Amino acid sequence: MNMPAKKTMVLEEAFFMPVGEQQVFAVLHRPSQVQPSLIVVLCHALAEEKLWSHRVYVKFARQLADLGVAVLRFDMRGEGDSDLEFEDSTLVTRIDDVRAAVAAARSKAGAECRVVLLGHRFGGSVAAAAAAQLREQVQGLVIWDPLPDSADYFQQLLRSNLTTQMAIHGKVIKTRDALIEDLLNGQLIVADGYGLHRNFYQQAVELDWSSDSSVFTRPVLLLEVAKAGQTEPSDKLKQLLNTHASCACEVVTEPPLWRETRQFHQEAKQFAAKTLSWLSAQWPGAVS
Amino acid sequence: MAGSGVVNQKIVTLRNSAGQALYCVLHAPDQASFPAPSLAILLLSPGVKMRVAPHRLYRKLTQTFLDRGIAVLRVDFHGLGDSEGELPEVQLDQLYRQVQLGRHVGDVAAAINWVEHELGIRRVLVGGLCGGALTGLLAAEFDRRVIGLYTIGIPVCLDGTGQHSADTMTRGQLGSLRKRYIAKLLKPDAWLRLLSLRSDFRLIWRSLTVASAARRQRQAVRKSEGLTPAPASAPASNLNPLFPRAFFALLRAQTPILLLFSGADRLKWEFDEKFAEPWAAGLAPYTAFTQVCLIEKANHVLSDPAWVAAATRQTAAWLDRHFVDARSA
Repeated sequence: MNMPAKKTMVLEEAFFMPVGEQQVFAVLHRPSQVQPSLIVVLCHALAEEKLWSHRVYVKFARQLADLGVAVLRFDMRGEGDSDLEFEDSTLVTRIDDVRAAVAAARSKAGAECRVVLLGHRFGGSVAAAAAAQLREQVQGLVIWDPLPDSADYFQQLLRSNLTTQMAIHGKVIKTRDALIEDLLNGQLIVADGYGLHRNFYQQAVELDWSSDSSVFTRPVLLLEVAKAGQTEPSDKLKQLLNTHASCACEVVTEPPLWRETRQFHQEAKQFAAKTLSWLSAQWPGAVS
Repeated sequence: MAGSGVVNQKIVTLRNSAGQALYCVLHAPDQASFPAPSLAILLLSPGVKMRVAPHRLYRKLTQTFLDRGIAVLRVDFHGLGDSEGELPEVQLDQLYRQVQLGRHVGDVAAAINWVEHELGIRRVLVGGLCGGALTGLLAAEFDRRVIGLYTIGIPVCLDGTGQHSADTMTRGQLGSLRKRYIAKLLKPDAWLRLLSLRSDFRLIWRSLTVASAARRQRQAVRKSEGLTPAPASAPASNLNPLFPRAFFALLRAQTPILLLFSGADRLKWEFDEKFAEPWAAGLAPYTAFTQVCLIEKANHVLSDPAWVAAATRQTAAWLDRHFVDARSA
């Protein structure tokens, strides 16, 4: 896609939005000289993955706003500058936060705006679950690096706990399966400094957004990160493509911007380009 | 504000000298107990993990300061977190190097100015984790409003030097490697790797000859400039040249410095071998102002709750020792 020339000034407003008795940190990016017709609500990845990819989100938000699209970024409770300790947050609190973010975005950017949820990795799973609940309030869904299997994802997340065990005990004294058993028995399990609790874990692994047809009642774009040699969508995503006419899926090449590498990740070029192209095709004129 | 454990938070957007907006979060102590705070701490963005720090470490530490009437301002530097600005580096080690050379010192000055003008607080502590700690040190060197330096895992060396790691490893690191190499003598896989020329021969050689290398290094003594005492041995090739000067400037001003280190982190070895040992004589008169604490087995970011608890205890003790009077002065 040919990127439109930069032409607008962007306004940014950081604020706390109330969700129940708590506060959620948010930043609204909006063009100053045009009334946006589209709002993208960004749903970040989980825990430390959020921090590694944060700057990518910030720059993409500014890029979108520069192209006439309003963007709301926010920290889900338990993360970033929002209230709640991580161990007190759950999938339910995250979905509630997305709902509040959509309401705040509409209130600030214009009630007539179409709303697109964009989520990265586990943030994509949260966005999908929220979209299913919000029904006609959400007109589009984009997921960067979708995670159809939450249980497998949480297994990977527990790797860092094993590393900590090695540091403390010189060996692994509890395998990941044993950790999950402890988790299910009510123990707090720490991964990368974040306390995982049974409620969150159970809700997360039971989330099967890819089997929920109400997720696909709107245009959906899934951008899958290519594994070695991969050129076509994985079988799971192909199945979604075949089942839902509203679903598009592309394989992109992106570095693992959600974890520590030698690179300083400030942008995700293919994610951004494919997303802009898709938004322009879905809503002509919304991206100027 | 229920549920977070941290009260009275407010978003602050201030501008640095280049006009870039820096996004910060201010936490005020309990109004009833501390109606007019006279001391603040600036917790500075560590590396690229913005103003919350890894696993929200800064939020976890905030209450310790608030309990003592110290306001907390968590700062995003330009080009990082939510703040405006662009950083040109594509490699993290190059970015870290620019941080270590003081890229964000001006942002700290802007934040201290904001604290003084908007809150009426004229004395501050600065610091944080890793790059945040070092930026605090470099900013404090020239700002008399800084009355304390708070550091967790402060780096004394420069990243991104382009040098082979064997040249820049500490004796502690090399000693640990030597033990591992010796243990590998009994492993067929290791011999296969060695004989197939896939081993790092330079690193192996250096780890086995570290003692003689240290002797050679001591022979080349170089005096530092200005008021910084001369080291007893040649500075390490990757030592941050700004570190000794800034550190001694703070000590001459009798500024308390807390140095928290993690037991499983190379940074403690680097601090000892590349700064504390060569400058031992120069540091000796200032022991009352420096407090070094080691959190056993901890990793660089203190990712286990027990390590955070240990850091919190040491922080509280340091604050109580040095700043009980300052907060009400």
